[in-house]
Amino acid sequence: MVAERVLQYSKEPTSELIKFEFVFSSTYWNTPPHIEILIGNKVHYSGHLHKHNTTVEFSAHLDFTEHSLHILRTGKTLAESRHVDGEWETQSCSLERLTVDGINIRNILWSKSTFVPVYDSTQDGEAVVEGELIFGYNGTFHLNFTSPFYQYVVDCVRGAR
Amino acid sequence: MTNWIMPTDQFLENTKLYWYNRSQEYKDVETNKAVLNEWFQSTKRNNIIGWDSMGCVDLTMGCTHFIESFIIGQNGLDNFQTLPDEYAYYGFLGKWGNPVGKLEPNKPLILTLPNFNWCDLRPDWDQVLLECEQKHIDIHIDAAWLVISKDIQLDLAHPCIKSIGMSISKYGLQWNRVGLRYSKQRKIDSITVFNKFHKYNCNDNLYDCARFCVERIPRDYMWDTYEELNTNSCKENNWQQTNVINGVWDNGEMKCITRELGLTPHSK
Repeated sequence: MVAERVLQYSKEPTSELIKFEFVFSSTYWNTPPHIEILIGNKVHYSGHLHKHNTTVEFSAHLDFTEHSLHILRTGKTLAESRHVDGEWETQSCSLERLTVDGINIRNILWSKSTFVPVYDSTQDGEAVVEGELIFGYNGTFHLNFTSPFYQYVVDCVRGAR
Repeated sequence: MTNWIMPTDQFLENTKLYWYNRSQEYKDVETNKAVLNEWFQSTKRNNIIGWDSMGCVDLTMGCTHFIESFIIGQNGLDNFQTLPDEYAYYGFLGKWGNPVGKLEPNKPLILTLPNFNWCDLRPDWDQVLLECEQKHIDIHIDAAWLVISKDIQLDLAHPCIKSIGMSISKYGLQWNRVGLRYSKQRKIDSITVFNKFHKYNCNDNLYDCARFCVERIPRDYMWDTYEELNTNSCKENNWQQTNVINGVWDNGEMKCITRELGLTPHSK
């Protein structure tokens, strides 16, 4: 009886506002890599990376359901690589850190994310690379997660996902 | 600075004896939480509204747990702020408070309410709220003193107020510190871990005992029982009554009157 009355008091939330913080690193001698970050179909960031580190921050309203994070990495062409004094110079792009709701989710990225490279005509390799955070090729990074985000983290740590 | 002694009496001490001397009944964590939730909300001496905006209710081990969990969730001592005239614990952490008017934008604020320095809301509470609105500052409230208070008005639905911690401890129950955190959104911190990771078979003894106590102690027990004594003592001693049962203004100084009320441990 008590429990029924309490349920009338509290309105369980159905969504949350979650902060995302990405740290990318990149090198290039010609043109910088370009990234586009989406959650579902919504683009939250689109732009070129700086040399060395670039931090991208945004907050997203997430309904308590399944979501997919995508990072579309473009800008890599054959023209971005050259041989200089016996060394290859090229355009690189890595996701160094992703902090979601204040939590560095490094191990979750390593075990749950995938990268789908787009090989050019002279290259081949795995169609899907698991846990890859060095985006040497153009391609798309994917991470499926759920909201509430704390529950997703709890489930991952507990091995329920 | 006032040396505070938390009030207790024979009834409260007997509740403790009763718990230890009789066989106990296990109840599940959701039942214990529901009983505590209703108890905190059942105050008739205070006007706390907006409970339905706080959709996330979690068991805690009292308000210090609420504070520490908040701090852990901020990922560092530099990532939150406090006010002057606050709980000494923040000073132990090297946090001395930003003056009202100079709060840092976008940086969460944790504060004590009611505040023991005034035994009431802070006199600058309206300014704090306004500044937090203007600077997008989230407010987290340690309401440890609320259970022994009266006439406290608070709207939890205020958009800046994100969470509030309440505790039963001030009813002579420091021997079994338990409380609830009400929040609008959970994030990973120790309270979330206790409630969502170790949800079952976790602290059952603590929570069963807390439920047992609040089922016997009326929510507004202190003011309902000792208002007349408090009022008469104030008249006799020319003290100014406050909204906390054991605090009065004595010639402009805050004074703890737990002894004068005869509510020190084992004294009544």
